[in-house]
Amino acid sequence: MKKKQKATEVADAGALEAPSVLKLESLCTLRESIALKASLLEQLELGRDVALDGSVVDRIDAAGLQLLVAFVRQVQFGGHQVSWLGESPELRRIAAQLDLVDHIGLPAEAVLS
Amino acid sequence: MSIDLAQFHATFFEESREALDAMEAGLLEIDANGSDADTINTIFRVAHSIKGGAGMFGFNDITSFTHTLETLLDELRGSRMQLTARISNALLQSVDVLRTMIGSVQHGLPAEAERTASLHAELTSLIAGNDPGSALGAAAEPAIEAVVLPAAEDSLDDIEFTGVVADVVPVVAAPTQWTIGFRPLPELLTRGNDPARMFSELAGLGTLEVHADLGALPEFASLDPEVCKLSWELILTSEVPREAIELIFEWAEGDCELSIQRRQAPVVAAVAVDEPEPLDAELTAANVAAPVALAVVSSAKPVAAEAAAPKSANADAGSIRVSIEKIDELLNTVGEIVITQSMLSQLASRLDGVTADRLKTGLAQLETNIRELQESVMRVRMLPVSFVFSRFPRLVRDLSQRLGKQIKLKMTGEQTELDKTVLEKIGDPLVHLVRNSIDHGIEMPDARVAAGKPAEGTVHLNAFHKGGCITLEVSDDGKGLDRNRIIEKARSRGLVDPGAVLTDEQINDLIFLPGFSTAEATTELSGRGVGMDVVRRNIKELGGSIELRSDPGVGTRFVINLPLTLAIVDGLSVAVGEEVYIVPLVTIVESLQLKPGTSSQIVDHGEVFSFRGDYLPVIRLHEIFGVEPRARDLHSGLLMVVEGEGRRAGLFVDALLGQQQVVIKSMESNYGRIDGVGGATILGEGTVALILDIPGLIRLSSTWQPARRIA
Amino acid sequence: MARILAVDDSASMRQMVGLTLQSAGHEVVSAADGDEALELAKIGEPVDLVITDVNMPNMDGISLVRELRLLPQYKGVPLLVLTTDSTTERKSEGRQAGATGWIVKPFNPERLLETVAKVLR
Repeated sequence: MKKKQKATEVADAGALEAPSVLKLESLCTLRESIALKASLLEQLELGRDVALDGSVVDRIDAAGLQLLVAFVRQVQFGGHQVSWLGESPELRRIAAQLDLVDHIGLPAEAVLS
Repeated sequence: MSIDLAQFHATFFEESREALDAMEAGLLEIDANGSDADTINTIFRVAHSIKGGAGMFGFNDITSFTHTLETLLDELRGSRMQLTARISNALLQSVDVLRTMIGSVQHGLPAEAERTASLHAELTSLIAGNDPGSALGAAAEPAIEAVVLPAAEDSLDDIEFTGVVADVVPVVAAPTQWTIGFRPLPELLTRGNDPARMFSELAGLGTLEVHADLGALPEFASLDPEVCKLSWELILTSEVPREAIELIFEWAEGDCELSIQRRQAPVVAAVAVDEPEPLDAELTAANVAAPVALAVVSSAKPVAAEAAAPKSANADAGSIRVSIEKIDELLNTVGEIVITQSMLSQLASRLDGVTADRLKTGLAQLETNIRELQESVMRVRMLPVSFVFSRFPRLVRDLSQRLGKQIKLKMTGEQTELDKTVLEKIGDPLVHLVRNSIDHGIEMPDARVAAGKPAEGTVHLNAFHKGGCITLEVSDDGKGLDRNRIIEKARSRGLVDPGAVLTDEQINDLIFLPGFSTAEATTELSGRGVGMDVVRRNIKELGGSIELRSDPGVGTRFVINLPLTLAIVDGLSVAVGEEVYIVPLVTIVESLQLKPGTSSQIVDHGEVFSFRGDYLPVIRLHEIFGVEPRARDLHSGLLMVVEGEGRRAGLFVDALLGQQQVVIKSMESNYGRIDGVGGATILGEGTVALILDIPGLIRLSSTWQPARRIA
Repeated sequence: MARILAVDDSASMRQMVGLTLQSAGHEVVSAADGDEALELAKIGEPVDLVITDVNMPNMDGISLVRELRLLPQYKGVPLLVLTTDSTTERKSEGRQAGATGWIVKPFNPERLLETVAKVLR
């Protein structure tokens, strides 16, 4: 999962390692879904905790959210955490409309970025 | 916000007229060449389009009429009926009636209510299969009752309005719950139907609970991002009828599995409507978020409306209508720029040095750009010849029917483009020529058969580009000109010397003389007091020429040559003394210098010279315009062989200056018409040069010379 | 607001649809038939919504929808069809081609804006 690191850094590496950050683009719709999947896949390959930043998401649809749902499930399945650094109202609105707030790991209270 | 639909009426009228022209053309096409699916489709589409617009803008009479018309066309289109002469006539009359109806709503012209009503009845009766010839297989469907369509306003209450539906939801104590199962199929998302949109609409109907089902979601790597693998169960607490819910999923029909079940809400759920459980975060989010977002959308409208108002002129990016005056102004300005530019170029040519060279390079570039600009502006004025040709199918059909002749109209080169002004002015001469062909050219069917020709005659309209000109041809395969009768008549009118022997060409030319008419008894068609002389004069005024070729028994062909535009001419500038004249390039055959002994004076014919086996008259420009020349001796100046209306002559000038394109300034408005002069232009140095009217000059010289008559 | 491509062979309809959408703050690109629209779609920036008439010369609205759906940038973009014919048959034809939905003619400007707002959310 993790690349070999220098001995001095090995201790507590898992706990201290900062999550890798992925800032979502402003458009996360079907049209962008192939690109979104690719960047999410890159995150998965890092095998680290992930912090998502959805603060600039202008438009998102079922296709975009479905990818996030599958992604979050996959990260958690690998024993890591997904957290949110920020969210846009549109992201929360659509996620709520589709009953996917929990499934993408968005906390009940809005995350202020 | 409100949009006044009246502002689109003018466009609707205009496009409807164009549509009717197209419809008429299509009907005539069918009439001539038999019915084909494409043409019927086009006609149907046109009728449909008028109906759509009329419905949109509330012209209910037109909507109702076109609806019936469309129904009939649909029968034809679907091959449930076949086109008979009676139907064809009714359809053509419908075009006329619709034109009247449009005129009536647009200008308040008389409506011809009676004719409209009776034609409407005829159409209805035709649809009902009352024309025995039209029946094809199964009887026509009696689907004609729905002739009267609801007015546009009525459709406001259309049930598709979810907002309206929501408004009428009654407040009831024990609300109904709907359980909706929604499972997208693979194509749902790619077809642009987003579940979130539909759920948001559902939330507008009442209280909505959403439960996502992730059961079918594969692991990330194998997820196709374009296919929705999620499904949902929705619980809607609302008194709406089932149809209101189905309506929301209407667009997704076929792209999803949908189940809608009604169940009475338990009391707890009913309470939850008024006071959502604080614990139910998702439900709250869904309910609060949706109305807020909608409010944002609607409150944004008025602000945006003001901001966007000035943009409205761009509503149609595909094409815009511009008045011809504006284009002419533009063209005139470009013309002035051309003159200024050439003035600058001449000034620059007298300068020396590095800076001057750069100036010259810049000016050369400018000249190219201006030339392109000029051409672009000219092209704006160009329209395809089809604008004029389109009136002929109806004309030919009507005339031949009236005369009992069988005539097929063939049109080619309709897409050839021509200046709009030229196009407008050439219409009447063409009509005259076509009428002439139908009336005098094409024989009665039995006469044709007796002559070994097909019973059906052909009139052919053709257009094509030739050099900087456009050629229009009107030809027929009729009996050709009766030359003996023409000579007889010309003699009886004193137009020809009794003993003169004329060539075929000269005889043909006689029919263009003022007052000449071959028809013994003026018929209804051609005998309208307009002779061929008027046709020729009109064409000449356009800077064009007309020629005629005719073979007895085989047919007649009129060939009209026209400049592409009236605004600009390519010419050679020539010098005579201190004056400069422009000779239109299209008239020039050759220029040559005579060797001593190749010209001669012939009694009664003036000065002539030998050119390719012919003797051509010499036109001394200095004599015609009263200018003091540098050269009087034919051998020391230059002869330009020019041609106009099939006749050639040699223009005698001092020298050739060069080729240039000049902008024509009409002189008629200022000086009246001057024989032999087509217009004037301003040269680069600011001096005025006359543009020669070559056919006019040739004619002028033949009267100016001692020989006055054709002999 | 949104960028919308409006396709209709009727100039009055193009004006009506165009002006209505612009008055709501949308940017409107228009085309007179399917060929022209497809050309615009191929070379221009993708739009957020396409509204097309069905009966048009050259390429009709249904074929246009079919062609647009083949373009990657038009995947999932709402394509609405304007039709006077609301029979199931005609609607299914549109859907098979890839249309998102339809607006039945005649409609008034308010109705058009409602539907557009609904589709664009």
